[in-house]
Amino acid sequence: MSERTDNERRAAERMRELLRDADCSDAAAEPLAAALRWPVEYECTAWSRQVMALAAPHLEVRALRVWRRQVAVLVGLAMVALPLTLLAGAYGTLLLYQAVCSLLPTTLAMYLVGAYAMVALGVLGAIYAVIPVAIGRSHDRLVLAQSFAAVFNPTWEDPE
Amino acid sequence: MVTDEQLAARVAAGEEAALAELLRRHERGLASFLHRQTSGRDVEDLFQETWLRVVRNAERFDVSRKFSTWMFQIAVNLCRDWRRRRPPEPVESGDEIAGAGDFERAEAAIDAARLLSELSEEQREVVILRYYHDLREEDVAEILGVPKGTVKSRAHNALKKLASLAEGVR
Repeated sequence: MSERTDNERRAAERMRELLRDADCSDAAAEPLAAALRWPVEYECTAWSRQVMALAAPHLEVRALRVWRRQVAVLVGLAMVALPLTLLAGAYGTLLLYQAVCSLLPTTLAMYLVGAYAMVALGVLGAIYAVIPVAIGRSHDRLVLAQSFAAVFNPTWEDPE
Repeated sequence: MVTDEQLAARVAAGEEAALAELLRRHERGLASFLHRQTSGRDVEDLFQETWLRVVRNAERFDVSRKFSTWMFQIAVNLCRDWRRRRPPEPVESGDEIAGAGDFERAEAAIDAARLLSELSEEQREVVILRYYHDLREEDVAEILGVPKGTVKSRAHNALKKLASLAEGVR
């Protein structure tokens, strides 16, 4: 059976079903399906490409907004944990100071533990500063990968 | 396989690859729907506008709904606006129908377009969505924003009218 005959048969079947739904008789199905045969085949690739180009600025703005939201959430979560981290750090330093005091003179112990506390504080600050930078870099890499993929491989799909 | 609804959510997050995939899946269906709704006029503009609205409103898309239903809803509203703006023109000639390779196919398209042009706007929308796009009554009702019973009655009246007209065409 040719493809067209097959399509026509399917159209007649669908029309029969619609007529049944609409409480009409089956007799009109064949002529109606034949009369409603309306082949429309569009080659839309160029249109779709145009849509992609027009939509690109919107998508970029959207992606940036989502990224900013992610950064805000992550920084917010990190800030919530900050007082607890500082408290734990201070308690640890105090214990360390007491332990060192039992072994060394007080002035030397204060100097050593004070130096340690300053370094630990610097490391903690650096970790917090890295959060937005790391998210920013991952975002840039994603945008770069998308651009490369769009140019060199139109059939590229997100590995996710 | 990623569903249309998941892809729409990713479009809302600004992912270009997700939009490309949605376009690949629905470009032909949407183009033929627009062609039948407008008898082939301004299809390209309406196609672009539909997709741009999809992109602009993707954040508001409810992922529990069907993406195709939502997309057709946008297209139906655009076609209604388009009809309000444009004065009615005669049905196009067979040569203008994209993809209609031979005379017989072009004739069939003109017959169908003439038949459908006899229907009211509401009836035509129901017939195109139910018959050409094979959508369920529930989906058509959601797209057109009317109860299922209204879809049934519109289809009923439209098919009765078409059946009598088809006798004449034959």
